Amino acid sequence: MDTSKQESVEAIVVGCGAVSQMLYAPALEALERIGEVKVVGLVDPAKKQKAGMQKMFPSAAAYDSLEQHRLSEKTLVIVATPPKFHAPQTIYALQQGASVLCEKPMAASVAEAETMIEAAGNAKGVLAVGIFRRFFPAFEAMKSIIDNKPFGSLQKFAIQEGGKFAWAAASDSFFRRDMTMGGVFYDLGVYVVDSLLWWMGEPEDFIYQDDAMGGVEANCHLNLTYADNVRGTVRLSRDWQTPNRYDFQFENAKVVYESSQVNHLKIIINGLSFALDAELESIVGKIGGNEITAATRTNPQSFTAQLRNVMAAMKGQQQLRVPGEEAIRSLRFIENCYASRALMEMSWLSNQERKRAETLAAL
Amino acid sequence: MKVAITGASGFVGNRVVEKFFLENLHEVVPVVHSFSSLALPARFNMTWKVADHFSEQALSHAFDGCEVVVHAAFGSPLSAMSKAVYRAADKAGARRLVVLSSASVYNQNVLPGTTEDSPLPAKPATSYNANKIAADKLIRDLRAKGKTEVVFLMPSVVFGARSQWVAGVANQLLQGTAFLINDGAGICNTIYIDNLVEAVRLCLSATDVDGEAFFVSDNETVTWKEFHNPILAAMGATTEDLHLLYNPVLAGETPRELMRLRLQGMVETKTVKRIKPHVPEKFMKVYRLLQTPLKERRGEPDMWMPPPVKRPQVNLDMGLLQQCTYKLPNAKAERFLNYHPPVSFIEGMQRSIAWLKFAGYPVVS
Repeated sequence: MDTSKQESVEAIVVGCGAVSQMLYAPALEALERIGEVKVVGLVDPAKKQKAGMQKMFPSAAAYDSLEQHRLSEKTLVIVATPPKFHAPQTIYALQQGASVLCEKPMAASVAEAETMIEAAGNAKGVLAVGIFRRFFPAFEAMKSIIDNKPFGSLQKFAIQEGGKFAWAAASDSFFRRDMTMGGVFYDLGVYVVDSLLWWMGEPEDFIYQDDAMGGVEANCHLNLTYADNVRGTVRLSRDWQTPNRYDFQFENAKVVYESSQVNHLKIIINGLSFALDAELESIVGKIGGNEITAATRTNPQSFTAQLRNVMAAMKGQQQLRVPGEEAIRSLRFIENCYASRALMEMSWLSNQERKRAETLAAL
Repeated sequence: MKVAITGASGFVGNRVVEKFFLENLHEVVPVVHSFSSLALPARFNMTWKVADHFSEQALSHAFDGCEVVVHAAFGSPLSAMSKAVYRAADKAGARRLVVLSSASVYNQNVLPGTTEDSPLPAKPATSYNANKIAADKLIRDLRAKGKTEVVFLMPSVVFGARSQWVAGVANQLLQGTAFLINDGAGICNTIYIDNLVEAVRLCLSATDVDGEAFFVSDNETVTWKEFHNPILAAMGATTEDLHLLYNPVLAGETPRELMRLRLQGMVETKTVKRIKPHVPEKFMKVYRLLQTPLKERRGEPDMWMPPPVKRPQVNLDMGLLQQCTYKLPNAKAERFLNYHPPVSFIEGMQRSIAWLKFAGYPVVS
C-alpha cells in the first residue's frame, strides 16, 4: 500500500442511521479535528437519516448509493447498514480498492461472511469488523487474568446482559426476519460470544434456548461447557432489565465486569471481607521500581481506538485487531446455536399457548 | 375479530397480544409507539404497526380494518394520548374502544363501599389519580360526539410475568429496601394478568356495555403480606428482610412538586418538543433548576455523618395502596360481562415466580 503515513484517510459512511449518528459520527469528528480522517461521503437512500449526518459533516458529499462515489486505496468505507446489506456493500468497496470497517454483526449469514473474507483476500484494502469491545480495557484485563491466572484457574462464569430495547432504531430492521438472522443473540450476542471466543476459545458443548415463536428472539439463554469442566451461562434480553454483569469465578477470587464500566473491574478475593472496586490504568513505564500509570480508554475512546486501529492497519502501521477471519467465529457459533435452538421454558403460558408456541418456534 | 392493541410492548398490551395470538382467539394487530418498542411483538411472525400514539392520523392508519381497539398504552401527557386514540378509532370506523383504565380513578386507597356508580373523588389524592380521571373524562366527552363505543376496565394491582409489582418486590429485596406497612394487613386488590386479559376478551363482544366502567380483580381477598410472602419465599427471604413500617407519615405532593410535574407534562407535548431546540439557553437553565429536586440542590451531605443506612422510599401512591381496606367488587363485571377470573391468585403467583426465574432473578425455590 503506497498511502502516505501522513495522509489522512478519506472515510465514507454507508448507512446514516442510529449507529452512525450516535457512535461513528462523534468518533470521526474527533479524528477529523486531529487530521487523521476526512469524511468525504455519506450514503443512505433515506434523506432524513442523511440529513442528520450532513449536519455534522457539511462538506461531505451525499449519495443514495455507494456506487456514486469513486473509491480508492485511501478510502475507508464504513458499512453501518442493516446486516443483509453488509456483504454486497463490503465486497463492492473491497473490489474498488477501498478498505472496509463493517459494523457488527458481520453479515446476515456465515456464507455471506465467507464471501466477504474471500473478497478481502483478493483485495488491496483491509476488512475489519466493528466489535469495539475488543478495545475495552476491562476486556483486555479479563483476557489477561484468564490467560495468566493470577487468581488461579477459571472455574465458572455467568453473564447477564441487556435490558428493554432502547436503541433509537430508525427502522424495524432489527426485528424483521427478512432483514436479520435473529434477535438479541444475533445483535448483543455477537459481542458476548466474540468476547468468550477471544478469552477462552471454542466451548466443548453448548445448549441454546430462546423465546422466538416465528419471529426473532427477545430473550435467550446459553449453557456452555469448556475443557476442565469450566461451565458458564449467558442470559441476554432486550425485554427486561438484567443486572448487566459478568461474574467470573476463579479459584481464589471472583472478577466482575459491570456493563459499560469499560475501565473498571470489581475483584472479590476469597477470604477477604471487602471487595476491590478497581479502576484500570495502563502501566506506561517503570522508574526506580515504581510503575508509572496513565488513565486508560473510556467507552467512547474505545470506539475511537477501533477506528484508529483500522486506519493504522490500512497504512500498514498496526495489525488489525478484528479482521473478518476473527469476527466470523462468533457468527459461526451463533448460527450453530440457532440451528439447535429450543424454546425457553415459559411456564406462565397456558398449555394451549405453549403448544402453539412450540409449533411456531419449530418452523 | 380483528383487534388492534395500543402499547403492545407494555406489560398488559403484550400479554393481550400473546394470549389472543397463541390461543388463536382473535386476529391481533400490535401497535407500538416507536420502532424500539418492537422487541416483544417481533417474537411472532405477525404484522405490527408503528404509530406515534399522540398522532390521530398515524393511529387511524394503524387501526384500519380493526373492529375493536384495546387501548393499553400509557404515556405523557395522558389526556393527549387518549384524545388521539379515541379519535383515531372513530376515524378508522372501529366499533368499540376498550380502555385499560385504573381503579386509581377512585384514588389509590379506594373508600369502602365504592362501586362503579360512586361519584369520582372531588379531590384526587395524587397527580397520577388526577391524570387518569382527566383522560377517562376526555374519552367519555369524545364518545358523546363520536360513533365508537367505549368500555373501561378498572383494575388495581395487575401482576404476572413482566409485572412491575412482582419485579418491584424482587428488586427491592435485592436492594434491601422492601417494605410492608402495618404488617401488610392492607388489602392488595390483585388481578392476575390473564384474568385481566379474560376481562378484555369479554369486553370485545359484550352487549349493552357502551360507556360502562368495570372494577376487575381476582376472586380472592389478598393482603399485601400475602402478596409479598410467595415472592419472599421464592427468593429465600423472610419478613425479617423487610422494613416494617407502622402508620408512616406520607409526604403529599408539594405545590412545587406539582408544578414540576405540570412543567414536565408541558415539555413532553409535541409542540413544545418542536420549539425546544430554539428556546434560549437562559430559559432552559431556569427550567432545569425547577426540575431538580430541592434536596439535590442543597449541596454535599455532611462529610462527618456516618454512612447512611438503606431505607425504603415510600411514595404517596404506594403508601396509600398498602393501607387500602376495601376489596374491589367484581359484581358489575360478573353481571354485564360474565367475568369469572379463570386463574386463582396462588396459581397466578406461581406463574409470576416462574417468570422471575426466566428473567434471571435469583429464585431459590
